[in-house]
Amino acid sequence: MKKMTLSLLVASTVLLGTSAFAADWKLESTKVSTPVSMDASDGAWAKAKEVVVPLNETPYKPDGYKGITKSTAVLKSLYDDKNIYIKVQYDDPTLSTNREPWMKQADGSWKKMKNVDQTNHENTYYEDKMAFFWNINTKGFEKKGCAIACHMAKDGMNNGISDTSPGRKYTNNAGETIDMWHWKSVRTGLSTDMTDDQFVNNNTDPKVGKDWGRSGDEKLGGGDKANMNADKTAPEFMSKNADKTKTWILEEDKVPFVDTFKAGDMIPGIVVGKLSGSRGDIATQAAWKDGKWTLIFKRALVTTHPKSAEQDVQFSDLKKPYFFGISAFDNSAINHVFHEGSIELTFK
Amino acid sequence: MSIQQLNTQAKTAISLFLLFVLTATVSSVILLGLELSGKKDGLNIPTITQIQNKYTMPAIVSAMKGSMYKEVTDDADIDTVHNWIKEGSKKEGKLYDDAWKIIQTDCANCHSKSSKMSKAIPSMPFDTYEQVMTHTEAGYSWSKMSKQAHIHMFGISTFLLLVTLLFAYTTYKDSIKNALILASFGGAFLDIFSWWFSKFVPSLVYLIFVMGGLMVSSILLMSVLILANIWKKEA
Repeated sequence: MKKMTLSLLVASTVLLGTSAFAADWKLESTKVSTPVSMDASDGAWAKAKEVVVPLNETPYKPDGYKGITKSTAVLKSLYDDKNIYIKVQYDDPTLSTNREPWMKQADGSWKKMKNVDQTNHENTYYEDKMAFFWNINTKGFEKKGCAIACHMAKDGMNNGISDTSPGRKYTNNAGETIDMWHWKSVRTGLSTDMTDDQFVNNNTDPKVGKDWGRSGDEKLGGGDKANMNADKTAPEFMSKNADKTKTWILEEDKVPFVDTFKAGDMIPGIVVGKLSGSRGDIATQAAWKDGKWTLIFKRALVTTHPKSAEQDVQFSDLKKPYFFGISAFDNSAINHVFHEGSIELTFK
Repeated sequence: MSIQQLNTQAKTAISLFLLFVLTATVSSVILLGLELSGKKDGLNIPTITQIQNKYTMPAIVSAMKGSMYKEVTDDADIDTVHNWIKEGSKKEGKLYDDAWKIIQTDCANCHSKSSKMSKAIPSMPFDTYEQVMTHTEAGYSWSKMSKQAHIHMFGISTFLLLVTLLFAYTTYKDSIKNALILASFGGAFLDIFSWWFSKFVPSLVYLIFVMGGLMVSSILLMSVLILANIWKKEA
């Protein structure tokens, strides 16, 4: 039946040419005269227009995955003379922060809790995450969004290289980069109020970078490290402030592990330090309540690190549009919900 | 006898049927416009260019220009793939390397037997050269045309028969009834006839455009006229 509908009007003008695609969603950043606090209830957010973005696609289907396969994100943005602020709220019915903890077994041994899927990625003992991809100079990003850097493996091969991961992120051409803001609830978010500032280039050599095109910006300090002894049989550290940080250990709180625990007790699997340098550009306040994550991101409009031009999106011209995409990870190492196309940010 | 002599229940059933026909017809125009334009919403009246792409170009190029346009990184990539096919789709040389990279980058994430993406189409894989080659033939293949033609002709003729029979028993002038009945069946036949042969005679895409429009217009017009006529009191 659809073929019989080739044209509604016989007398229609013969139209020629191809259609141009605009961004799928538009986010306006509203100017404020004074700096915005990191409190999500700050009255300044009432001035910002919101855009609703459905996150309804996933890159693969992990075995045993129980997380979300769709969500809805509501975005707002403000800016002042120095910084841009972005508020994101998205649906995630479960708070997940127990990232690969150690659990004491009945026989007295310790076990690092894992339940990896068919691609060796964790979806049970992990953490909630969220990510931005900001185009720096990658051809096709405005149209395709994050998908421009998404390369799925086929029969265990990716770009001619044997690989167990279902997909990799890398750009298609030398010199093309994407700024990645990777908020990780345990490793950067709730622990240090930060986002891991990363970037994507066209590297496909696992010897150059284990995450292929994805790398962290240059850092001066901080970051996360697995909490594991030399034998990999038990934790190396525990927290002197265990009641405060049950699922991670802050660098400043770590003390040597002394086993006085009983079966079933858990020790965090990660030691976290506050990122500094280019990798620590993005302050983030996060809270999970009633099935929603609410995140406030703050970053300088322009960053001035040695490699900022290739690693950070620069909001240096407030008259031009900036294109980005977002995704959310529900207790999953790499599976995420994302949207088609891109979001266009403009400054008003 | 005219449809005005039917009882109220019959008139109600016919009116509801015609509302279904009107809605389905408009819906199918919307669907075709979305498929040909690659857009996600709105009424997009198909253009001659889009029809040419669909019926005269290799399927993979037609898709890159139409329904899959949003997945294409750059417009120049479509030309690269098209040139590779026009040059004989050889499995060697720079054209092949460039086209293969484009197809793998823009298409094969979903068009793969092993794809688990939300929009995966494992039934139409582009994993191998041979698989891609099945989509490089210009226009519709005989197999696809036969399938499309018989499904559409059986379906269209069935509901056209009902609409035209109803229209035949309205009280309009015979000349109007003759014109619209012939236009609807004739438009449908010549439309589908042109699908077959436009890849050999490219100018037939204009016939697809005109005859498709004639068919749709006559169906819509007959449906509206029947609705206007059936509830009139007999003279």
